[in-house]
Amino acid sequence: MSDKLGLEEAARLLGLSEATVARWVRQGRIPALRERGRCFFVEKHLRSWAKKHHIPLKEGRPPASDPAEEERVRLSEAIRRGGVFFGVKGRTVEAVLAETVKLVPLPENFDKDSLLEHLLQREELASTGIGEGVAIPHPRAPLEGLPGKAIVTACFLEHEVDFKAIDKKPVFLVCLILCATTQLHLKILSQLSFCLRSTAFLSFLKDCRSADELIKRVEVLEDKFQTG
Amino acid sequence: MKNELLHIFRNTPFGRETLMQSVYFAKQTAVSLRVYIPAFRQFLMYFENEVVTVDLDRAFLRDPTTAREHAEAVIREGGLEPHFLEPKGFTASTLPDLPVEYAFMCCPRSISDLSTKIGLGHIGPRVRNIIRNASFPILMATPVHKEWRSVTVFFGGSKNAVKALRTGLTVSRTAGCPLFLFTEAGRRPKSHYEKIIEDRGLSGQVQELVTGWLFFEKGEFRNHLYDVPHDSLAVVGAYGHSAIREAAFGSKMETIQTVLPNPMLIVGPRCSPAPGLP
Amino acid sequence: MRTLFQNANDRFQLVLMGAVVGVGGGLAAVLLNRSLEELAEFFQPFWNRGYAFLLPALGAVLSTLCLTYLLKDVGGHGVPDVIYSVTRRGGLLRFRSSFSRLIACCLTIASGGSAGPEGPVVISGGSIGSNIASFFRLRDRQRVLLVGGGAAAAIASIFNAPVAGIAFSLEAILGEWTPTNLITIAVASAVGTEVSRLLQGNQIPFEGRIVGIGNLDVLACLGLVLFTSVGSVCFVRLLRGVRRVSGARIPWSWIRAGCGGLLVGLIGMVLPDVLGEGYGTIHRAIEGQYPPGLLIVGLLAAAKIVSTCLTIGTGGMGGIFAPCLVVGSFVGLFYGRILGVLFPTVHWAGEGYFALLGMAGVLSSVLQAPMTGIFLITEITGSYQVLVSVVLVSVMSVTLSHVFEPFSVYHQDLAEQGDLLRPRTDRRLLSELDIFELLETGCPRLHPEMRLREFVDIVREWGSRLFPVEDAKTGEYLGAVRADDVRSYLFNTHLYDTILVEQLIDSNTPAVSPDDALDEVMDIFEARHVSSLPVVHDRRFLGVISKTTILDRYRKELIVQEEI
Repeated sequence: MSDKLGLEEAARLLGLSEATVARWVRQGRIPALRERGRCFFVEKHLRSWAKKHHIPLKEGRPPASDPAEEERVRLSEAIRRGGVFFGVKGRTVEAVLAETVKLVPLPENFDKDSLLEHLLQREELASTGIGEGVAIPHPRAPLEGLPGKAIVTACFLEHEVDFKAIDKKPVFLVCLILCATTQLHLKILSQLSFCLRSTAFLSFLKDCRSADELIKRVEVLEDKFQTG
Repeated sequence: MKNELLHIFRNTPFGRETLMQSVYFAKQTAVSLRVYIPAFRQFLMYFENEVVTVDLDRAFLRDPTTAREHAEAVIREGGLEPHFLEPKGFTASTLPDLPVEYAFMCCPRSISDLSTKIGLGHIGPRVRNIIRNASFPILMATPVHKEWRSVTVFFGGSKNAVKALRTGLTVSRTAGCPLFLFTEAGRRPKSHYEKIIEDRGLSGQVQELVTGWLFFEKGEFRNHLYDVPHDSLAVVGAYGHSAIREAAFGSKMETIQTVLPNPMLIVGPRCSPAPGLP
Repeated sequence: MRTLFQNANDRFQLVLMGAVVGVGGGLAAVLLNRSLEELAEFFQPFWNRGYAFLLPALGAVLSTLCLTYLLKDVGGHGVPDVIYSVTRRGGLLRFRSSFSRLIACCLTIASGGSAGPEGPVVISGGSIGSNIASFFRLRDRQRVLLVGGGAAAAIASIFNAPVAGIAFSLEAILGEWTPTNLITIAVASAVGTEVSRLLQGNQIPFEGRIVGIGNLDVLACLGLVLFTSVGSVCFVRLLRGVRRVSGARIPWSWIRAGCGGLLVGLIGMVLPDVLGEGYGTIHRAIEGQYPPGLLIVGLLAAAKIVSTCLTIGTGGMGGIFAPCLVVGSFVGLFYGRILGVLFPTVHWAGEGYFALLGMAGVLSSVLQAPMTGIFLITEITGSYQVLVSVVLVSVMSVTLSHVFEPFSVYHQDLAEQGDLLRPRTDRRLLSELDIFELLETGCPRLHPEMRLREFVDIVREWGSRLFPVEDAKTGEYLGAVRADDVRSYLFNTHLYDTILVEQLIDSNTPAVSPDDALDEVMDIFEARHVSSLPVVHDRRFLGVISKTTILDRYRKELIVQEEI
């Protein structure tokens, strides 16, 4: 039967050590069945018991604390997903953002109007122009319906636009960042800012004309970032 | 503690041999050794569903002033760090209770110093009681210490035999010594046993570690036991039968322990499926 | 049959089991009662002989030898063993305990030792309950209830007092009054009483006709509180003293018991009323038939205390219930007679009234269990009209004697050992958790030769606050480094390659051993003002124990103990 849990699974579900759950079974504090010398829990009973006692359950797999897993968040991948566009039109912040939102590859049913609204709201709060002619518009909180992996859309503008950036320089590159979680967002952001710190990369951006070349340059910098 | 071998020390030359075997076993299986030097005639072990009273005879209490010293000397000679168990709970002021969470426990065949009872063919009632209730395998020492260089698992296909096999596999892996399987088949073909091993998901480990399968289809069990290597640790699964039932109907374990002078690791019916090895 | 029971609803199952245990406990009590009578009759003719003063010694020696060598059971007079098992060991009791104490107690009491049959019968009942629970593979929680039920049934059956049995079990043994506890124990107690009534008839053991209690009497009973408290405090202290002195002076248990018995025999030659369990004496006291004389009852009270302490304190087998009642009745008589001397013109309610109150007062304060005292006295005397006075005396005596003796005679040894852990107290919760359950494993290991740079990287990657340092070759634990301690170096990037991890090892972080009890570990947390500690055994690092985890588990532990 699939709804039977072993000691180990039950302990993980309850977020406790196996020794504790085994002791509770011995003390008769938790509903358990004994079968051939081992104990089992009926998942349904265990859940209702936990609910009755207000013990929070830890659903699913344990959170990936594995550093190898985290490494997989790569800026270059995100850019590849989001795409690189050249000569994006618009002379005001609003126009540029509206144009960018149109270009982002997102699922059909995704509400792009609300995305634009969120981006503008964020822009009102404080400029996302982070200096050196680059802006990184993003919504304040992760929006619903975003895919699990990060998306970064890089748009090289046709005309430089004043984003009211901190260093007052007009913006020529807009990198729209869309992430499903805040953690993911922060990771992408730290990689992006690492890249932008390199003056060589910045001068490359100024006359970048090929998407592949951009991604390649990002990959090189990324490796540097990972190794510290 | 879960990663320890419990040894009840008796301060006699015979007890020294037993302790030496515990030291060797602990080193081989990479567990620590915890020695209890009894201060009273009895102690209790509170298992999950039963209290076992262990009555010790006077030999265990002999010469308490030197006991600790002797034990330490033997353990250090074996290259281990001595740890002693100081009982924390007392059911009565002269009745300590010992913890029951161990990886193994070492018992002589009988907790008694009478020479008639030390010989083969007799497992004392208290030792049986411990085997029946313990959640850990019991190492049954031999009168004289001898190093074992292989492990032989008696595999008859039953649930307890599978437990014994698991234990044997772990011991053989940590000790890095060859493993033999011993099966007294009767009418069943070898494939029957192979299927049991496969069903329990052990075939990979068996292939990796087992070097030989002593498989007997006919003949007398007693005579086959001669083929067990003389320097092998026998791993046997035991049922929870009472002493009376075992005396009346006999069991494989009974025969093994009367015929085989090797050290034995007895995996009782209440043993947890995975012994607490690293 | 086992499976059938396991599947039944928890509470019904407990009710059913409670009934079974009740029969067992009741039978044990009846059996003890009968054999006591038989044995007492057997010993009767010897009491007229010249060597009669040797009888208690003989009985005590026999009983100790029998217990140690034949039945191989060591332990005290029973109730503390049961309490220990209930609080620390999930109610597990040995099967041999269900009869060994009965036999030993028969020998002690019938030969004239001054003790009661209740302690032994409590452990018998408890052990029957425990073994029945083990047979049906019940869990600790249920087993504890059945132990309580067995004890309740035994007391209820021996006194024909069902409510007293319930009160005793809840107050002295389990230590908490909850609905589930009450159900099982009440059923067991009722069944136990019924068993005894079927076999022995329904009679009130010490029926006294007490009439005409005036308001003045109720007022006067407050004065009695002083006497009962003094009596019980003397009793408890003397008992402890005798046990300590005799235990230290005489190493052989049977000689010790024999010496005690001999002294009791000598006292008994002068005052024969102190011998045995003394039910006959109580009878006469309550019915007001006791021979007059103020000093003689005072002397008797003292002598009974001394002889009981000599019997039980030296290892004789028996309970203190019955002696308490006898002492109480003497104290009550003594007080009543003092009143008569002081106020000869006032018409008092009669000696029986004060004897009865004295019993309630002494029993309650020796056991530190007022409800037991109240119900027992009311039930065994069948006199409900004295209820108000009994309640007053019991409660006041407990309060007063609590000042001098905070623990009951049953609990004091356990309290000294640190094993008195009442349900739902902090110590009890901590004692149930063990370090292994709280261990956080899987922190990265550091090596002493590591540079600060590598360490900073590890800190960045891992959320832990404490990192163990191990010898790279042997894996031996060398010490621990706290993430907090490196904060001051974090921004000094030029130090990253000059500082080694071994320089950062925190000497203020003691390692704890997995054998340590959790309350000791908590003390270390408090003393060192740290929030996490490394757990080390055999020079190997096992994991980290932190206050946060303890709080989390502690709370869950509390939650699961709630009854829903």
